[in-house]
Amino acid sequence: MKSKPSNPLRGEATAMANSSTDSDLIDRLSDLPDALLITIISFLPTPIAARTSVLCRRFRHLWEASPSLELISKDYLFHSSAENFVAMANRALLNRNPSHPLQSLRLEVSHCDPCAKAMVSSLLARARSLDLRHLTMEDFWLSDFLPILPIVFTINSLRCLSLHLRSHSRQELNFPSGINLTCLRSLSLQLIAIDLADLNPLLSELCSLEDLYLRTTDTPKLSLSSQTIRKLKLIITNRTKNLDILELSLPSLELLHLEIQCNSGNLSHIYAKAPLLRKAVIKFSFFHERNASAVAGLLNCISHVEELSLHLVEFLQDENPIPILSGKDVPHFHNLKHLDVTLCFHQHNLAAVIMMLLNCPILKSLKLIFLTGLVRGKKREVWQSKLPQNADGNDRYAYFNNLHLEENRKEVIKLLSKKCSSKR
Amino acid sequence: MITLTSSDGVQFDVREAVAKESQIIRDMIQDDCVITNIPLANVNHKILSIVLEYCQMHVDKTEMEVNASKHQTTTGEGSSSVPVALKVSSNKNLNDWDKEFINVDLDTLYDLILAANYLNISGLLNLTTQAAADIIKGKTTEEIRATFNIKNDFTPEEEAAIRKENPWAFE
Repeated sequence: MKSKPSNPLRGEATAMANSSTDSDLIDRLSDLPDALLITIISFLPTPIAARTSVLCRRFRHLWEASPSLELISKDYLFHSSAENFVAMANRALLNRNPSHPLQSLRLEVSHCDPCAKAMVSSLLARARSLDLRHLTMEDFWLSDFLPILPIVFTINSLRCLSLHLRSHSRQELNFPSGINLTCLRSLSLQLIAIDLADLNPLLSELCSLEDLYLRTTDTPKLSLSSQTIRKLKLIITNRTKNLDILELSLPSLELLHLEIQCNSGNLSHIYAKAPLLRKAVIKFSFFHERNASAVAGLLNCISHVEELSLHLVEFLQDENPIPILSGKDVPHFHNLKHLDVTLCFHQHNLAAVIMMLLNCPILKSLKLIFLTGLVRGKKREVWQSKLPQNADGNDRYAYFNNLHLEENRKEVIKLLSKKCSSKR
Repeated sequence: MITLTSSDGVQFDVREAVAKESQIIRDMIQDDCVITNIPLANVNHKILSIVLEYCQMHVDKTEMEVNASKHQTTTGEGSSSVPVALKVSSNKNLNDWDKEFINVDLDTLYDLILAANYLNISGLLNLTTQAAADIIKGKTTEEIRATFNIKNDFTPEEEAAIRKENPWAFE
């Protein structure tokens, strides 16, 4: 670049703006074409967007064409009557000029607002007739959602669907069959205290689905199978029931983010068939020795990844730490280029990482981050970091690069092995 | 390399990947693969340099993710125990960089919106229009008018009537 951008240039502009006198203040915002002003307004929550109608004549009707609506009844809960939500929803959606396309709709309706709840099905039907692309339904009670579920799953124009549902009486969520959302690319399901029925019939009908985000609680067994999903984010937390078995059969998967809270569970088996997987982020918390074989099984299934980030929080009640990965279970990572490991690097864990390092022939970068836990019992020193001192003079992390150069690689293994065998 | 010429005649030599962040330039290159000089009639050199700073950063970050190891890192010397330890590199993510980047005065922001629209750079258009919306958010009608120098051309009666139309917006 011949002329390098720099802050002085911007400073100049500020100076020019400041030097102009009040009389020649120009309304440059209103000079923007309608389409750009509407784009700006589309980022505003609907009530604020509607407020722009009084700015000046130019803005009088612009907000009505905003492709994005946010209808939230909670905003009004404490301020004024629920009538406001009804009036807003009527004006912005039900009486919307059909020549203005609707791209995205966000609905957040309070369980304690019967007027708003009664409107939801007509709002969705209207959105369907306007060929809605993105729908987000935030914080719905399952009992309120089940009656309107059939409408949601007939909005065939949807590209993205995001549902955040909770239950207070452990109901089961079942999806109807014959779903025709052939354009749906992205599905996000956040289910709190809901029994999730088999998701696979739904997944098999979503023939364009590439992106799945699933967050669920208390699911003892979960199986996901899809030909089209390329990106999966799966978070499983527990309150009463623990995850025992997880099976993924995703032949197109490229990116996996998996977070599991083990608690006291007997997570025994994780199976993943994902031949195209390139990058995996794996996080386990409250990890016990008895979960180790499940993790080893998972690592074996994904040993072809290029990037791996492993984050394991140990259950720190034992007096003595145990290795989270036993040496013999570490698979050969023949494609692995980048490895991040976050865990409590006591002696055994450091030994396991050295073993991993020996099994990664083309590794280029390695990041080790020490995770402190609250250790009960007396033998705190055995839980201390065994990482070598880094350039910042502490042992909380160690980053190594250019490991594809043989001498760097050897040096790192030597250094870690020395730390591993040394006594404090 | 491709040469982009601003409306006021300043030339910028940029890598093709950087120029191609713009959809219209991408289309031009696709239609005519020997093109090397593109005049941009609607963008002056000051704005073009900022736009290219954005494109450069976004191309660099993407390439870095794809091929992180290409970037040579310093080999620590003085520190006794770690021979190849990295300094905590500029792991600052792109969102933070964008946030800092877009912290400009209003005139520049308008120009960037228009340039992003003209050059069809969807990421930059999103960033700039979102920034304009953020300025509007949390302000009263009077404050918005004052900030953007919007002249109220309604009579008080007209304004009151509009407010009455959508009372839910003015609570």
